[in-house]
Amino acid sequence: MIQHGYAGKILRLDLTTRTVSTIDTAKYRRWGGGHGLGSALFWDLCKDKTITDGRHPANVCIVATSPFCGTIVPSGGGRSEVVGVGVGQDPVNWFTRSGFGGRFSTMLKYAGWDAVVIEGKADKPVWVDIRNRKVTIRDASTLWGKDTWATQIDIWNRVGVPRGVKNRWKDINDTVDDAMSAATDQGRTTQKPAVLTIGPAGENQTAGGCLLHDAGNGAGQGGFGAVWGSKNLKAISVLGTGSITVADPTALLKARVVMKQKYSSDVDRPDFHAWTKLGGPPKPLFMTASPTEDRRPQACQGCTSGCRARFSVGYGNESTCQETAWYIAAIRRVAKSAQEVSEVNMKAADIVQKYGFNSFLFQTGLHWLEHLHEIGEMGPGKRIPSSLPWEKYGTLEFAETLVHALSHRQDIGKDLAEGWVQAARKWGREKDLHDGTLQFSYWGMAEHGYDPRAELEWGYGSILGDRDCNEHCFNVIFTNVNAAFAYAIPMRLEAKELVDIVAGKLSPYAKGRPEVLDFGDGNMYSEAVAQLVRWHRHYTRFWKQSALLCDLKWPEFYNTNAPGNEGASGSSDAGEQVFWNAVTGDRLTFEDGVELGRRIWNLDNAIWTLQGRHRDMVHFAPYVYETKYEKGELFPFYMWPCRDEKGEWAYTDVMGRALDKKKFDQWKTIFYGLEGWDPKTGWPTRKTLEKMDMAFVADGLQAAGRLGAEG
Amino acid sequence: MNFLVPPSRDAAVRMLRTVLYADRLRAGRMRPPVGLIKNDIRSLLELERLLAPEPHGLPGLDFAAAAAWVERELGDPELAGLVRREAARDVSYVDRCLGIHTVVALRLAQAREAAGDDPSNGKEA
Ligand code: SF4
Repeated sequence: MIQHGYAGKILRLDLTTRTVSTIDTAKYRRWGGGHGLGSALFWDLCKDKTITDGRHPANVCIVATSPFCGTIVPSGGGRSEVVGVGVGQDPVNWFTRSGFGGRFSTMLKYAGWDAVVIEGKADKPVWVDIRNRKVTIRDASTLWGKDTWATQIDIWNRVGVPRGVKNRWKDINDTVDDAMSAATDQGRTTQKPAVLTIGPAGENQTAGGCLLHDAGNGAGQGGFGAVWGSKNLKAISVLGTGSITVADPTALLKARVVMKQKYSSDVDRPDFHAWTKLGGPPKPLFMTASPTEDRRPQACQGCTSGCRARFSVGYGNESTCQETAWYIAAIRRVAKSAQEVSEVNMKAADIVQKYGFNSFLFQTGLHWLEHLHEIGEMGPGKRIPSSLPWEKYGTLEFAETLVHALSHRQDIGKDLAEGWVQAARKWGREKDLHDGTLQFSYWGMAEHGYDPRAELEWGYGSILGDRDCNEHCFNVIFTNVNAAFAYAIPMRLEAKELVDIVAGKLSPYAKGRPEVLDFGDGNMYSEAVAQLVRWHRHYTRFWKQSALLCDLKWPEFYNTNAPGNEGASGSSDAGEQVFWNAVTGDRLTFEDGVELGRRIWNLDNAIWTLQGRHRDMVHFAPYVYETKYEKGELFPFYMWPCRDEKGEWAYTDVMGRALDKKKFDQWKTIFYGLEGWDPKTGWPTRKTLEKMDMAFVADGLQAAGRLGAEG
Repeated sequence: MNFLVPPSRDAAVRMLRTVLYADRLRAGRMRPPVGLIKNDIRSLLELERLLAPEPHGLPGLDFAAAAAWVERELGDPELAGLVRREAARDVSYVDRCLGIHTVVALRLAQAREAAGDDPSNGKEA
């Protein structure tokens, strides 16, 4: 039977025995795709779910697609999800996730696969060569040691698709052998394979090890590069010639046209200050001045926006967002001109891409290293021995020396390879975790830029989960409002109007309850905020991480291009469920998707429970409780809609406070109660799981003696 | 009117120095979608670069703290006074940043000239 939106098979690789097998996707259809599919596969296939180091051979890593991949769903067709036990977190490497964009997921589906399951450990370095349904595990001894870009070029050459595709076809002597592709699949392509690979940081199994695809699509958090390194897996290459059937192409096209006509900026009269996530004019997201105006937009397959670029100068290609800012404060110190700032910045981005190194560790970590050097703790002959050339801090040479050391476990990289919080303890710098000199806020991960003391849903969601959540659902409120304050321009939406529109989208738990958005001092430990965090956890687990809608674009609560300022999310003409149903033929409601997210979130919590999680562990780094988020520390104000003593809504500064550890702990009890989890332990209960048709999970927890007690 | 008495060579050298990490001015940048990121300041040049307009973010600066830091660490009460004057203007936060940038850039140029520092060199005396 054709399953619209799906390729139909899951590829299972056992690297220990070097065998390849398949699983029918139909068995896992209830989990949707992406993260849900990955969690379910992990549950079934990981034989020891108590492991707490992603480098353990029992770890199972899954790279998964969604029904949207390979279709024209706007900002949803080209992303992949990665799950498994991670590396580099503290105090436990949880079962965690990461994601990346590009064209890997689409190519995987065109080759006939919905996901790849990686089990075991090869005795020698290998890479996996997928050409449609033909899968070969190959020797990677001559790839090992190469950076991520050189590896991909080498594999492109080996697979034999000529660079420059004009009039050149590659016959891959195989077709995707099922009904859905039969009409269109000729087994030929002009495309080069999509390759997902690790660089030196992954080979050396460091906490910064990423997976990298093309020039700049990285799965950074979670240390999955180290997971692959431990499995001796250098790369997966995939070339596909098939296609994906869509249940209702007319409906899909119609929704996409609505997205353009109703929700997007008018190209002839663009509103550059519109408050919208989906409807803004395409804009690259590099965090520095463009090194040249001679550039082309670059995007994940199917994206309507395109947050990256390729430049005629030949550097900075496909880098975006944080990796284009990890070194900028240092560069500004020594560069001779703005042009040099831009050039070094984008070349520093290239460095982390090539080493396959997660630059987010530097977000707050680089300042800490500089501090340790400055106070004489780190350096030649110092307590933390290091020969890093700090006198060259801010130069490209220093950037490469630092990333090289950290990627090769050299110098301070030896200690940082196991995690930065672990290194702080080893170096006797525990106090830095208390006074905020090292701001790694949640599970040993760097603070993102939305401080948990101000932006509650980000912080609470991260610590209740498994990592810096990196989910840009609500923080757009901060961005829009703060920018309007900074420029003293009129608010596109006043606080009351904004919270009413947003709350209207928070179905089912928080629909019509604007108070859930009040992050004021009097509401920050409330049942209302717990409902918001629940909605956020469940929405993202399905619509973002399983359906794989892009985090930068979805959800869209408000849109000042659209009538009534209502955003596309949940709408009947271009909501998430409209695209899902058009592609799959399902009749899912928006709320059904959130409910599916709740199931996946519960499955994840069951895995964390088996790994050893208990509510007492669920706490932020000490500085979040012990120091205030000072005004002016990073910015002079952090404006957010809050109610005043009369209950009137106004944009209010939420800086200047710490979290109260005791109150946060009490708030967790409210949260666990709402989730139907045992408030004493934070573990899922049988009743809750069975209501979601997950008795098998309850059985697993019970067998391990870790089933939550019923209330 | 932006008028600053040109500094002596000795004063200029102090204005251009890079202060110790411990004596830095806390600052940041708003860079959506990354968020608020650290951009601590250790010299007049870095302050000028933080405040220089750019399309990809906004400087994050506490003006009172900046004026106090200029006075204390760079030994420049005159510039600190102009920073306070610009900070007190009844205009937007961004316009106040621009006003402060103008006076900081003016002082940077004066100090470089007095110290014989090469303006194309980012490294301070
Ligand atoms: S916005 Fe960027 S990351 Fe998101 S789908 Fe588009 S190109 Fe990919």
